[in-house]
Amino acid sequence: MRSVREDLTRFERSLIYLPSMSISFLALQNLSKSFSKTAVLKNLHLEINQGEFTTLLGPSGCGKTTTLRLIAGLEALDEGKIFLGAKEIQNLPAEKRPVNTVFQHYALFPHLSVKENVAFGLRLKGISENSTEKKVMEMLSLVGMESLNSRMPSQLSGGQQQRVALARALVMEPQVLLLDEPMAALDVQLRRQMQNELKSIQRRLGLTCILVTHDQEEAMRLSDRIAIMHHGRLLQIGNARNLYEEPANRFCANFMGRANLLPVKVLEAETHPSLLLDGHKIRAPKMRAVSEGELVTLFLRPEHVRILSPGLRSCDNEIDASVKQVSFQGESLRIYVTVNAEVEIEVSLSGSDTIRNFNPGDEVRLGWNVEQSRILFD
Amino acid sequence: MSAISLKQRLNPAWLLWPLCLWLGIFIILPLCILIVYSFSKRGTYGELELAFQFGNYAKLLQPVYLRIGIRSLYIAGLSTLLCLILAFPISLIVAFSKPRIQKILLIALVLPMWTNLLIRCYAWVYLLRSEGLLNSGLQMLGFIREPLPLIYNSFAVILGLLYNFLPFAILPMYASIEKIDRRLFEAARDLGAGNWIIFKKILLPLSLPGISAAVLLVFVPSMSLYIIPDILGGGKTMLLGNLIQNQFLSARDWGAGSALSVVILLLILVIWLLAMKVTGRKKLEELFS
Repeated sequence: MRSVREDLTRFERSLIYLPSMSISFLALQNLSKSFSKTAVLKNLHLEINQGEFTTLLGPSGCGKTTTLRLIAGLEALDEGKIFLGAKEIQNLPAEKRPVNTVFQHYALFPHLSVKENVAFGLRLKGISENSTEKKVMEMLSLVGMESLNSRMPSQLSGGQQQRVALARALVMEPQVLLLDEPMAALDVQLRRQMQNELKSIQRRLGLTCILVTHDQEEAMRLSDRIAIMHHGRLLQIGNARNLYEEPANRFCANFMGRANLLPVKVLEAETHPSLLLDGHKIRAPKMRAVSEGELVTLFLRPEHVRILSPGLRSCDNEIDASVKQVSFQGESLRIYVTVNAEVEIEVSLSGSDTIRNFNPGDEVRLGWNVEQSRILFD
Repeated sequence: MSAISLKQRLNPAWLLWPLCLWLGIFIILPLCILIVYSFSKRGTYGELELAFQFGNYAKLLQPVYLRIGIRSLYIAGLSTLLCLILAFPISLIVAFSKPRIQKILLIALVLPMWTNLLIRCYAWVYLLRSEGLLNSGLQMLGFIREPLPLIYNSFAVILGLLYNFLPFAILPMYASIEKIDRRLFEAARDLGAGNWIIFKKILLPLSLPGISAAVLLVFVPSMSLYIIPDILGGGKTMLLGNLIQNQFLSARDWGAGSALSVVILLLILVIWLLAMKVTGRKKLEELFS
């Protein structure tokens, strides 16, 4: 359903009434939190829709885990409100909130078996022993752990512990499932597999999920929307393509994938927008609210820069540069070129271009199209 | 490389012999003597006559001895229980304080043990006796007219045991609680558990190794310690420890004393095995190492 919705044009979208999208399901309003005078979150606003998979992405210390813990109720907030549905929940203690967490290191109870771990929360709800048993086994089979139900956590591998932790949270039927870097302790292969499984379970159950991670690849693979955080603030929120193609600022550009951030000076802003890049006049995308002479940043993804063959001119902007360093990455060939000593540009070639041979010192002609570049102000 | 070859040349079993010698001379040999004595006869003038008979053991079944045994178990059990009840919250406080305060608290706990037990016992006598600090203080403040019977009774013995063994209960319990991953409490809370449930279902079961170790460290010596009952009990409350001393020194019945010691040793062995069974051997060993 979601993917269909995303394929529609904005006009088409405006014609359909989508009830689940109309009001936000979980709303964080104006959240602030400090730990001994260090502000960890500053006026955070975030609205999350039902059934949506949202990721809080950022480097360590950006406040993403704190945000998650505030939603779970494991941390008390200094200021702000948290709405779940129509209910204000910021004053409810953690044990009374209809949200559940998969913790970073799973936090399975070491003295209880797999089954007992999953049943822990249900037992407290006062559900009958029969239906607890049934629900626990159902959930364990969903995560593929029913055959190991009598094992102790210490007898499980990391991936298996992860599944139990997921089952333990899911069996509570949380209105929002919170995931605190759940894959951080797994190796790459297993992480991929768990990501796929998590995504398929989330889709199947229509779960509302909030994931905290510093791994942008994981964020892109799993999320409907990604919120990039830095220094306790929300910098940008959107789907992966959105964030990748139109980063709001230098930090976002750098954090999602690789980026060339080139210092440029505005020559003309309005009719024929152009910039001065290290003495070269180049064409620029349309800019608003800038004046001539202003210093801004030109954002250009490495894969959007081409190395032109002699005689063939096909790009809006072309400049000469010399190769400084070449590094073969398998699926891509990464080339660092300098326009002069000051400006370095990263170029990423893929597909058949990776077989071309470049050596440090080679003179090359770079080219890119205007619509693939952006102007960033901070 | 050289470390490996050195290790290979030195058979590690060979390095154990000083320990074996030590254990042999100071533990195994005396134990054997004790066992041999326990089967021997008492001569007319209190000398030992080597024999093999169960008279000494049969003697222990006499009501007088049984009563002392039961009283010892009761007093040791009660002081162990009180010790646990008192030690648990203290261990919690120590385990949950900041590292710096933790260190200070732990030192404060161990500090009194650097003084001789005998001296500490006499200090209690000074506090508790009829003209002691406590009684005269209370009298001066007008709370009581006659001095309270605070000493030379079971109360004083239990108080003395409690005071002496509290650190032995706190330390293993603290070690056990300290090891519990704090995130487990958060996980339990997240799943809907309030404080009481967290205490009952997470904290208590996970500190069980510490509790078992505390029971061993308090109950076992309380049962046979004799200085405290002797000084604070005033010799009126006869416990197993005093009884053994009495058999060896006053009654000059080494056979009965030895038999009693062997029985206590067996009792302690049973308690150890029980504790291991309850806690799991590995966890208990971890705490003691």
